[in-house]
Amino acid sequence: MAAMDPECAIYRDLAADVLANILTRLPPNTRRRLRLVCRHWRDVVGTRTATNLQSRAKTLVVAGGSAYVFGHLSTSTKPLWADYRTSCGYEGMSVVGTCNGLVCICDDRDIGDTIVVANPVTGEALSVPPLPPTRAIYGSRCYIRTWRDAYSFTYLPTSGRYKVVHVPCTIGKFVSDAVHVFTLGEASWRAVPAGRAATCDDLDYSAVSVDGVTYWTPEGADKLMSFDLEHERITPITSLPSVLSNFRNGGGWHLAEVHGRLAIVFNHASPAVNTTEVWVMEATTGQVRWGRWYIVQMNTPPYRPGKPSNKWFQSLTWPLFIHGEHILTWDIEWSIQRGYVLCMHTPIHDTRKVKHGVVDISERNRGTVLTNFKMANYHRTFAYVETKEPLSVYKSAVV
Amino acid sequence: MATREAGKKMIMLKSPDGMEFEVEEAVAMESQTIRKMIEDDCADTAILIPNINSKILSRVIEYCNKHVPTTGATGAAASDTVAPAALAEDLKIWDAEFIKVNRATRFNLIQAASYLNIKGLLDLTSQTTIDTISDNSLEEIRSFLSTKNDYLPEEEQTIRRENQWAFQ
Repeated sequence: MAAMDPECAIYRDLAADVLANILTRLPPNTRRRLRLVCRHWRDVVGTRTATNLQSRAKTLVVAGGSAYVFGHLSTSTKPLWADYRTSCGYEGMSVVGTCNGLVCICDDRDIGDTIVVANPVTGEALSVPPLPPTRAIYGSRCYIRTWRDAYSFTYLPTSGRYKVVHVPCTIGKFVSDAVHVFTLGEASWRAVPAGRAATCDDLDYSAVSVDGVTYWTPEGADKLMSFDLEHERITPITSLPSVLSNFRNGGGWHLAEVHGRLAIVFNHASPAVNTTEVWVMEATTGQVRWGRWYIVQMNTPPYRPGKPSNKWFQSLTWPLFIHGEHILTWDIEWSIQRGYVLCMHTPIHDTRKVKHGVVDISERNRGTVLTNFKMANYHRTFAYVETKEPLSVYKSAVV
Repeated sequence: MATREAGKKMIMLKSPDGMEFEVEEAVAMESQTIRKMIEDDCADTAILIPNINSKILSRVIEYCNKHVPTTGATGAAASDTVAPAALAEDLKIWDAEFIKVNRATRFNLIQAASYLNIKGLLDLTSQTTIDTISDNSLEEIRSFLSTKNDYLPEEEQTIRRENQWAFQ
């Protein structure tokens, strides 16, 4: 071991009880993050502080201006906005993302986005200054809506900072060829140049942030782009699951998040069966490796208007479709105006085909109905946890 | 060193590097550890304080001297002239000055406060450390503590994933 200032040595291995005394004074989210300092700290947090290390994640469903929280064990719902700005009507609201119980909301009722980070438990809310280029795309309402989909919200475990990211995109004639980052607690957005080739031209289901890295699909969809928020580096990922190239003409894919990892959701249809494969990025240090974790098969012919057999369709919820051990889908019935129905399926373990499970959806098995929402363009699902994560600490820096 | 006043019991504290400190019993009893020794009659002559060098011990005594309650016969005079709120404010300012020490001293003070069980000093030193660690990145914390990231990359990934999945 390297020679060390003897005075330093004493706190290099701060006695466990002394360390526990310090860590106990911190909020649980910070304690969980500080497990990353070193093994000694991990052990002290795990054994000497009352830190719940079990998953408490619930599912937040946002659809048609309403937001509901689903508990882990029950299927009962609880409205999230019940006492929180409901009175002004939240039709124009969309959720950018959630981290540690904080919800990043984009309110686009008026021209120019208003981004707010809020904790519905404490009622605290913090406005993020508007991203300047928004003014350049004032022309059309639908452009603004698309612009909104380029936002992502994430938490960087190494620094403990929350970040709102806007990925590079091409919207009509307008090109935003930089990653824009806003760090909670700082005064303004910063731009990291990305180049035209990295811009995304189809923002539907595009930007996903996992563990301090934001991913998106650039034009052409032959690779992924990643933005590492710690080092602010943009890196292309060219190694994709081989299934994508095999089906280049017969399927589509988008990004999602599965158990804290990045996933590619690939969908292809044959005349009789519609198949969705979920490929999960398993190694991010060193070489990128993908594993097939889920297969969702739907035994219903693809929708063709006028054909009586195509009465309904299901698709995975986005960006989160895992709820505990279950898989969530939206069930849409064409013939009746009952809106979007949120369904839950229990995957069957079949290790010959996939690592985690197979779901077979058919007329007889359309899953457990959780709830239904009115017809609306906007349907999103997120992991959510009730915390007292404070926001006031970031207020001073924001004008 | 404070002059010995009549009727006050004095206690001798010894540091492992051979220094001796004569302090009033009331001051020494700010430490719950020493209080227990005195109450259990284990403190006839001098109390050896292991692991705390004279430099740190003298600072601990300085803290206890300042924080020993001034109530009772001798404290009455002070209470008459200064309001309690002002006294508390004065103590806060004094504490803030007291804790302006280098990080090695601060950590030694934490260890000492923990061993001697002096709640006020432990709170003060811990809070200062908390302010440091909650505002800094993991790398800054590690360098501040002179500790190293001893995780294998896969282990670190696992914890990051646990945090990400469980609580976001």
